[in-house]
Parts: sequence; structure tokens; C-alpha cells
Amino acid sequence: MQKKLQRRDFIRQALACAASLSLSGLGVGGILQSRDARAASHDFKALVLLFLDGGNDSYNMLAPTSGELRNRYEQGRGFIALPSQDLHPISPWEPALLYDGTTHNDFGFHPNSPQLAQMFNAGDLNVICNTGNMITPVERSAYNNGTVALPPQLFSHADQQRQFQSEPNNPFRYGWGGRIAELLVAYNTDPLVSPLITLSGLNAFQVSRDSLITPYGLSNDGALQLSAFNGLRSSMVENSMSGAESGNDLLGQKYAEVFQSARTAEVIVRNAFEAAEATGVDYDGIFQAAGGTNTRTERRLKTVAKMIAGRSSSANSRPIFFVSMGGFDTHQNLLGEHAELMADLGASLKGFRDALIAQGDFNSVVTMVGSEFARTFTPNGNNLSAGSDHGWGGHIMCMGGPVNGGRLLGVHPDFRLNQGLDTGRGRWIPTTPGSLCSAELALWMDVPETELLSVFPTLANFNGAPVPGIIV
Amino acid sequence: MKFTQRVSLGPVLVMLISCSGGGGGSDSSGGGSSGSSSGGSSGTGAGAPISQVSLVEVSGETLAIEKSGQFARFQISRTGESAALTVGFSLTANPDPGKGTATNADFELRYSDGDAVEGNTLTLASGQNSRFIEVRPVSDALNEVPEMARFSLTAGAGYTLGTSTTTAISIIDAANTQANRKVFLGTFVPQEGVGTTASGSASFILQGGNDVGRLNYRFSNLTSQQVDQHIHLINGPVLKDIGFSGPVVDDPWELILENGAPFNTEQELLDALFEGRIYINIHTANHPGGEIRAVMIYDASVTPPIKTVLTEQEVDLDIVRFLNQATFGARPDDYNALRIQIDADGGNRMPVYSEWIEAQFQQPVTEFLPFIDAQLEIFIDARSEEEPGNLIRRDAFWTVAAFANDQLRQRVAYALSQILVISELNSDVRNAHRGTADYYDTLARHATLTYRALLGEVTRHSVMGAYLSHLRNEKEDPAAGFYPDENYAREVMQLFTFGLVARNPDGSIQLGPDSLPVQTYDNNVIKEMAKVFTGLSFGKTVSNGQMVDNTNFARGNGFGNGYQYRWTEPMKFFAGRHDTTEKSLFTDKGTQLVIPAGVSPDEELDRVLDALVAHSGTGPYVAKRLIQRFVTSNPSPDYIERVTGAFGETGDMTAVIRAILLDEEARNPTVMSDSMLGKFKEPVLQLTAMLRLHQAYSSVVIGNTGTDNVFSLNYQNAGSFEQGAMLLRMGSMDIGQEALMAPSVFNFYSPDFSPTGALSRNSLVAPELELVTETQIYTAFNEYDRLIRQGKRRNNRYTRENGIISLEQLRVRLSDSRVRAVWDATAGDDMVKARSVADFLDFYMNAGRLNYLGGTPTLSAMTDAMAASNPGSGEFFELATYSALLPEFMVQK
Repeated sequence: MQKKLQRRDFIRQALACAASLSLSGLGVGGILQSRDARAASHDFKALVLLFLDGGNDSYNMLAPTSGELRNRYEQGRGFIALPSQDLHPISPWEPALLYDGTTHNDFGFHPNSPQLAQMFNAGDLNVICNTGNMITPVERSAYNNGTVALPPQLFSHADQQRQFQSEPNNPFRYGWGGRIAELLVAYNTDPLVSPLITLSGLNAFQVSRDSLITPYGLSNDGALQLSAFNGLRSSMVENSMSGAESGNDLLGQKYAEVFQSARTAEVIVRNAFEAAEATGVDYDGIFQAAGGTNTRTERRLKTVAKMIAGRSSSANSRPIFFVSMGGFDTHQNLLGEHAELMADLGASLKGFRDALIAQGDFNSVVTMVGSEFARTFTPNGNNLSAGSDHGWGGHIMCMGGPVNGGRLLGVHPDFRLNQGLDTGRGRWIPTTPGSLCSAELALWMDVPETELLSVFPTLANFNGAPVPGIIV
Repeated sequence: MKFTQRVSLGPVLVMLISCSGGGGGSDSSGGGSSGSSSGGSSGTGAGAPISQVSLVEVSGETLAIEKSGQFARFQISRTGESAALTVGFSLTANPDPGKGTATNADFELRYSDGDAVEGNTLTLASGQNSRFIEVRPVSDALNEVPEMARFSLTAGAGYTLGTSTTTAISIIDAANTQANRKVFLGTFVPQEGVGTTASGSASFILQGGNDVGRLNYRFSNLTSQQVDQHIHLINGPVLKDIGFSGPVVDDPWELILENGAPFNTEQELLDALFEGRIYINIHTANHPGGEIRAVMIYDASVTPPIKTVLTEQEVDLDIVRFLNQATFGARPDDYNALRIQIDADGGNRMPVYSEWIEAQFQQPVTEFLPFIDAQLEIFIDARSEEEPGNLIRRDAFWTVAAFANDQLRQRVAYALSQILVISELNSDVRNAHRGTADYYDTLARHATLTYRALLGEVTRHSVMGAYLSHLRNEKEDPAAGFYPDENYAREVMQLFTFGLVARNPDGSIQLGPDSLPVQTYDNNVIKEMAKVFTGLSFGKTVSNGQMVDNTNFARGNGFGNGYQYRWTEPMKFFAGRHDTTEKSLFTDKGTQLVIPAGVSPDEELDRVLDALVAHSGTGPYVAKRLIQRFVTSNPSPDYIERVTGAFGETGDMTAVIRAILLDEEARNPTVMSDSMLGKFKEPVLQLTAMLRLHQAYSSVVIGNTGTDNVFSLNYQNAGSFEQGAMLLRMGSMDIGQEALMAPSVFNFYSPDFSPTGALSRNSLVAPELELVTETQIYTAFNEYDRLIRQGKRRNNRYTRENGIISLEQLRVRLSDSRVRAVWDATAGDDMVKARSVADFLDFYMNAGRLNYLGGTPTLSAMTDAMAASNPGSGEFFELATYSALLPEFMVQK
């Protein structure tokens, strides 16, 4: 307990003096030793990014249920406040530290996501409060005067998504998932299938810096097979595709490369699914029991779980998965639209967790749930169909056996408008840079510490800030 | 550094400090990988075999270009022991002594992880098994032939050499673009001592790589019949014989050393050319030793002309390229019509294209809304309930693309739908199906108007109001704690007009005094702009079946009633709900747009829209996106600037489309052999090209020409479709893209998406490739398989139960008649016939590029497969159609 409070003190000081820090909360020396030991045996770890596309209104995903913070919540959110009694209460390990220096213990998850509260209370999930893209620490006065460097195109979807998935700087060069896959090349030796697997198409997160590793795109329900692909048809296509390099055209060559990747990976994915089948885990039953209704997000996470269960089919021991879930740009009808999203999120995540537990992999997988930004605290209308606009700092969640669960990490906004963290309409200045969370997960994946600043250069500006302590 | 008193910092903090430039006081290495290169070499690899080292070529990256700074790369890799290692290498000469060899002064070497290459050694850190080395060209003012830099590993201690120890890259002066060509001019004058009045002029246009050029000349008034013509060295021998008589048109001259050349190297030949020591000599019967000669002199002041004289084959290919840019797919009839006119016009194609564009814009607009309305009463289920109109709209897209007469206008509408994005993934857009159809028709109507007029319609369109949530958007009430919706305010600047950063007319980013891009607005502008879009709600509604004015700001969506006047009529301002305070908006050309308090909402909106479209960044923003949709993913700055000029202050759409399609960069046939120009075909256009070339059909005609087995839709506006057009009610096509179905307002792909690999390393974007994943390719292959083998129809109860048109009548299929006719009309064996079919497909789908390049593996693969199939069977046609999925067919040059 003593030690944890100390870490929080660091954070507060980091914010107050705009630069401090240590990664000492990690006990880095110990990590180094154990990492080397693990590297030798090539144990298995998988990282999953579940990206909430459009800007998750995370202050309605987790909201206060009582006290002064609750009062400020209701005043600020107006028509889009959730009733206290409908929230699913949580029992955090320690109370959340608020920006005004007080603490607050009473929070609950969205009425449609009881699963998030269950997993939080079971110690399988944590919340890193009010994180966001940042280049350097920001004070409200400096923000207002325009005297501090801000992430380029703050509040723009495409840019902030890219920055969350890479680093908060321009120009875009690589995604942090893609970059760490390059750094983990010794763990991912399978020549036939990429360690970067996407269930949601190409994305910034999995772009590699040296353009060496191309992500593999998997469909919602696993690898597809080509119909009627035999005889003359297959020989025509294969002969053409394999000769595309001589076609003197980079666009056609890229297409042929993706086709070849699909052909080679097809077998591996099929084997993985067979291996998953052989575990006897009842995936459909598990996801259904978690409240699932066979949504796209759920199917995608189910496929990720199966790929992990069947990992023996590939020589990659540090795969990085990307799943995105759309619909979070709730400019109107926040209450209605967000409720549907929260039901899907809670059920899908819980199904994923239960499947991983059933197949014995929960301790090898960390799932990060994040979004490009949270939304304005104040609504944009004067009735129940009001929405919220693009904001800044918001909550990230991490789930998995290695996660320091049941915690509200970092510093939570105090919800006071026009002061403190507010840059207008309750667009909160983040109290933890998102890159710091990503960096901690990169370390967990066994990226060498010496590479951290090369992956996340802006962390140099937070010299002294402790990692949030996501991992136990 | 402030925290050095925190003694218990771990190694990571030490790293943080040292990397941020401070150095600290600590020098503990913390297990880093560098700094142990000598001592550690034998420490780790106890039983491992000694490192075996190789050099590897990087496919697609063997060319470095001085002018653009494009660099090449090669790779060092090793197997075996992985301790830190230093490997020697040498730069060796081009094996062909006549060709150029690069020296150390021509390039610098750098690892792609940022470190410089020291001396003639390459290093690998402990555990590092490969490393990329960039060959960065050094820019000099010399005119040089292509030079080879050949790197060879040398033997040394601590490693053995693998099988591949040499790799080579090539360095050229400049890319082979129009702008980089050099012009040599000459005037024919009598040879010394010859009496003649013959005259003429000559040009030689050398391409950027200084390795080949094209010769043009003509002459007249020779004293007698011409007997020979040569390229000569002054006081030297013949360098090249021109193997025919008469004027020379675009004859390639490759600067290589032919037999008897008086040079040791090609560089000497190039130098002679630049020094004016080369001439063209015309020999006649009266003057066999030469009658006239023209010395070729380099003239840097002459702009290389766009190639106006094309070969017959090049004109053919350009016609097909033009049709694939301007329609939903080239077909024999369309090609023939243009070919005949061009021939009639003496081979001059540009005026013919220009007239074609004009004629297209004169075509009546093919509208979706009445076409959908006409089908609503047909597609009903057993309980007489109508099919959701949005499904009819989605299917109608294929019919319109395949058969509408106003092809170009529809292509423009489709391109605009990818800038001014709405998407049926949004339930309001889906449910307001009449409004959504009307929105698309609005895009089509404005293909001949202005972008300014279009942006006004779009802003006031209730479907856009629902999609970007400025419908029923109320002015702020801080006391009550709410503020206007900022969605439309943001996107109308970021995505519909000038974008996030200030741009020059050529699309380049403007940098501020801090060397960072100049931002076009900040969040305060967004908040102010949001006020402009307050007070808008439905303009009309319905009462007793009649369209009436809407007087209720908060009126609901009313999707249920079939009229949907709320969605087809423009929104209007409710003055009491509009914010009338002063608004300080964006700044352009040094002037901030400020709307004073009290201006009427409509006037205010018009002034803001005027300024948005006239903003200096809007022209280049819209120009680049439209060029990307029609012609190429990577337009040159000059091309963008020319289209920006056509855009003007209001966005003259006709001028913009003409500028895009008739630009020299769009019409230059040399792109056929360029590895980088053009664009990847988006899935929708790939499919429409097949529907058109293979004459997709059902048994439902749009007009009234039905026979016994064919149902006549008897559609009132059938005249906007071509004769015999059929309903293509295919249902959703799982190919990765569908019109008005983008995942968000950011469209299907990002305009600057650059795929991992050679494209991104060459700084090239390919937006459409953002859609291409393993899954998408397999899904599309399988969907095409269904279409080809079984045909497609929307499979729902409105198809099955309508009681009017049968399931079989609705099935959409591709016709094999064109390819079969080619097979039958070709004399020869099956290989010859199959090659003829392959050429036919290549010609229309690919503008004949495979043939132009002299055949490729794809052309052989197609020919072999079709020749081996039984031509009478379905397999022959399946192969012919399936070939559209082969790599070269996916690219529009």
C-alpha cells in the first residue's frame, strides 16, 4: 500500500512540475532478468488492441455514483447524464485520485455493461484514467495562450486515431504495434504468416517502420477459402501472381503480394482453427453466456481467441492483433447509441476473457481498449437526444491475467468546468500520455527498454513520468 | 535531470536521460546492444556456427534518382552466429566497361535505422541478423549516364561469405518525366560545297535518365532522291544508321555503343551530345556524301513538348485509357466511335475528347429518385409490403453505372460522393432512402455547375443534416449547460473544402516561420463555426398527403411515410434557434472572415460558404482528390496546380473535369511503361468495367422492348439509359466497397494511404490499396466466382414473392458473346485463338498494357489456360472473366 501511494505521488508531481519520473514502479531490474529467461524459452504473449473508432464517450462508460463528483457530473452532462442507480458499481482496490488532490471511490460502469464491472471487480481489468495523445505536459494557461506544443490536429478523428496508434506527432511514420513487431523479430520467426494480424482491415497501428512486416487481414470468422479454385483457373492465377514482380508495376505487385500472403497463411490459419477446435472449448456457448448476440466485434474477438488457442500452428510467439469497433462518434443521441455500443463492448470483452480462461491463455494475453479521444463533457443539445462532440482525455482499459486489475490508475478529472483540466466544454487535458500506456505494454511484450524512446520519442518530454502500472 | 536525486532509478531512466541529450553522470551501459562489438564476439555463440554473410537485393528498390533524392536499398544478412560483427565490402566496377560506374562521390551510404555507414565496412549488432543500407544519391550538376554501384563483400575475420555477396543498384540523374526531358535542336543546312535549297529542322528529346531519347525531323527540297540518313559524330564515323528514308517521327535512339563507335564509354557519347559534336546527315543520289546536315545543340530554355504525335497503337491505347477514366468501363462500341472521329480528324485526338466531354455533359441527368420510385410498387412481399427503398437504390447503382447515357456525369457524381460523404451505414441515411437518392442526384446535377452551388445544396440537405448532425442543431445556452453540435462545422472545413493545413495552389503544404505546417484553423474557429449551423431543421413536411411548410423546429424524422418530403426538400433556418451573435471564423490570405451580429441566417451561411469555397486551400484540396479518383494516385504538383486554376473561386466543375481528363499528365501514353503512375482500381470500378465489357444482363428491360420471356419495366425515363438496358438487381456485392457505404465521413480510404513495402518506401500513396487485405481478395474472388458461374440476384422476399417478375428473370449474368466472337473470328490453332482473346481483354480492361509491354507472365498465363480449356464449355468463359482479377488488370494506368 505504501509503495502504491508513492507511485501516485510521482504522478502528481509529474503533472505539477511538468516533468518527472521513473519507471521504477516496474522494478525494472527484475523485469530485465526475467525477460531474458523468458526470451530463451520463447514463451508466448499476445497483445490485442481493441480500438473504439469515433471517440468513445468514456465518461459515460465509467461514471461517479455519489458525492461531489457526482454533482459535478450531473451539472456538466445535463441531459446526457446517466442515472446513478443504473450504473454497475465497482470496488476499486484504492480510491481514484482526482485532479484536485482529493480521492473518490464510488464509480459504476455503464448500465448496459455489467460485465465490465464484474471483470474489474474480479481483478481482470483496470482503467487508466484520462489518458490521451500528448507531446509534452500541458497546463491550461499555456493551452489558452497557445504557448505549448499540442498534438497536431487535436480533435480531428483521422489524425488522433493515427496518433493513438503511433505517436502523437507528425508526420506519421509507423504504428507502435508495427514497430514493436519489428523489434520482436526474434520471437516471430514464422516465414509464412505475419505476427501482425488484423480483423478490421489495414490500420495505422500495424504499419511497420521499415516497411518489412505486412499485416495479415483475417475475416471475422477466420480464414476463407477460395471457391472452385482448381485446375486451369488456379494455374492461371498462380502463374500470373507469381510473375507479377516482372510486371513492372508497384501497385500490381503489392496486390500480388497480398494474394500470396493469403495463400501461404491460409493453411496456418486453418490449422490454428483445428487446434482450437481440439481444445474442446465451447466458444459459441461461452460468448453467448457472456451476453453476446453474435455481433461483429464478438465474432472478431472469438477468432482472435481461436488463433491464440491454435498458436502451435505458427512459429510466432509475440503476435499483435488489431480489432476495431465502430460507431462511437455520437454527435447525436448519445444515450441511445452509446447504450448499444456499451452492451456490445461489455459482452464481447467478457466472452473473450472467458474463452481465454477456458483455453488456459488468459495469463498470456493483454487486451488494450482505447479510442482516439473522449468527448465533450457538456452536451450539444437540450433534450434527451443530445450528443457530445470531439474531446481529448479519456479512459483506456486493459484486460488480462498480467494486468494489475481492479484499479483506477492515473489521475481522474475532477469534472470542474472552465478551470483545472478544462480546455472548453469539458475537453479534459489528459493526465497520462497515451504513449506511456503503450510503452508499458511494449515492455511487457519484451521490447528492449533501450528501444522505448525510439518507438515513443515524445516520452522524452515526460522524462520522469512513471509508467501507469498497468501490468502487475 | 531534475530527478537525479531519485537514486533508485532503474536502467530505463538512465536511458531516458542519456537519449534526451543530457548525458547525466551515469555511464552504466545497462545491457544495451551497442558497445560490445569486439569483446563480445565470441561470448554468446558457444556452439553456433560462424556467421555466414550475404548481400541481398531489395526488389523494387534498386534505382536511385539524383534529382528527386529517391534512394535505393540493399540488405546485408547473415545466418549462424549472431554476435556483433564487422564485415568489409568494396565498390566494384560495372562488369560492362562501356557503361557507367558510380564512384564514392555519387552517393552516400546510410543504414535505414539512421546510422551512417563508416568507411568500407558494414556492422551488425549482437543479435541483429540483417540490416538495410540506403544508397542516397549525391546531387551534382553533371549530365551522367545511368551509373551502376556494385557492392561486394570482402573476406575477413570472424565470418564466411554466403553465396550472394554482390548486389548492384543504379543511379540516374532524373526520373523519366515530362519535366526532366532535355531538348536538343538542329537546323538542316547544306553540307560544305553542296549547292541545294533543301532545308529542315530536327529535335532530339532526351529523357531524364540520359539513356534514351526520341528523334524527330523533317526536311524538304532535296535535289534528288534520298538514299540514306545517319547520326554522325563531327570529324568521326556514323554513330547510328536510320534504317528508312523520309521524315523521322519519334524514333527512339538509345545511347549505347554500337559496333565501331569511337568511344570507350557511353558517358563519352553523352558528353559528345552535350558538347554539340553530333549531327544528322541526309544523303541523296546527287550528293551521296551528304546533302544537308543538322548539328544537334542542347537548349535548356526549351520546354519539352507534350508528345502530340502518337503511333496508331498509342492512340488506340489512349482512347481506351480515356474511356476507363471517364466512364464506368471501356467497351468496343465506345472505342470505335472515338476511333472513327479521331481518324476523321486527321489523328488529332484532343479535340475529339473535348467534344465527347461536351456531349456527355449535354446528356440528361440519369436520376435515381424516380427510378427507385418506379420500382417500389413492384418489389413487394406476400403481404404487399414494399421493399426498403435503400435496397432498391443500392441495386440501381449497378444499372446506372452499366447503362446510363451520362457516363461521365455519373462518374463525377461517384467521385463527389467520396468527398462529400454520406453513408448508409448510418441508419438515418438508410431510412431516408428518398432523400439519399435525391442527395446522389444532387451530386450528379452539379457535375456541370459549381462546387460552391453544390456545397450550398449539400449543407442544406437534410440527409447531410442527419449524417453530420446539424439537423435540429440549437444555438448555445451556457446557463443550461449546452452548446451547438460541432460536427458539420469541423468536417465542412476539414473534409469538404480546405483541409487542416494551408496549401499552395500545387497542393504543397505551406510552412510557417517555425517550419511547421500552417494550421488553417483552431478549436476556437470550430466553436464559432458551429454557431453558423444552428437553427436548421426540415423545410417541408407532409400533411394529408400534401407537401407543406414545416413550422416545428423539433419535428421528428418521419421515415415511415412514403413521401419523405422532409428528406427531399432543403432544410431551412428557424430564426429563433439560430445564433445571431458575431462570429470570428477562419483566416485566409491574411484576412479573417468575421460575420457581424444580426446578419440573417441565410445570408450568413451564403457568405461563409462563398469564403469556404474561395479559400486558397480549397482548389488544391478538391483538385487532388478528384485527380486521384479519375487518373492517378500521385499527381505532380504542376498537374494539381493546373486543375486548381480551373477550379477558380467558385469551383467550376466542368472546367475542373476537363482540366483533369485533358491534362498532359492524364493523356501521356508513356505512363504505360512507368512502374509508379496510375492508380489501383477501386472494387466498384473494377466490377462496373466487367459488367460493361461482358454485357451484364437480366430478363428485365428498363424500357418497353420486352419479349415473351423478358419483363418490361416501362420506366418513364428509360431514355436516359441506353437502348436495351436491363435491370441489374444483383443484391449486395461482397467485393469490399459499395457506393454510399463508406465506413465514415473519412471515406473508404485515406487520400495519403501508403501501403507497407515498396510503395511506401518510394513515398507513393495508393488510397485504394487500403481496402486490399487477404480477406478482401478472397471474398472478392469468391463473389466473382458466384457472379460468373451462377449469376447474382438480390435474394430476399421481395424478389421471391412480388408475383410480377420471376426469380429467373431477375438473375444477373455476364454474357460470353464478345469473347466467344473473338475466339471464333481468329484463324489458327487454340493457342492463337486464346492469345487473341487475351489481347482483347487486355485491350479493354487494361488499355492494352500487357501487349504494349511485349507480353508478360499474365498474358501467357491467360493464353495457356484458355487454350487448354474446351472452348465450347463454360470453363473458357470463366477463365476469360476471372482473368480480370489478375494483378495487371487491377491497375489503371
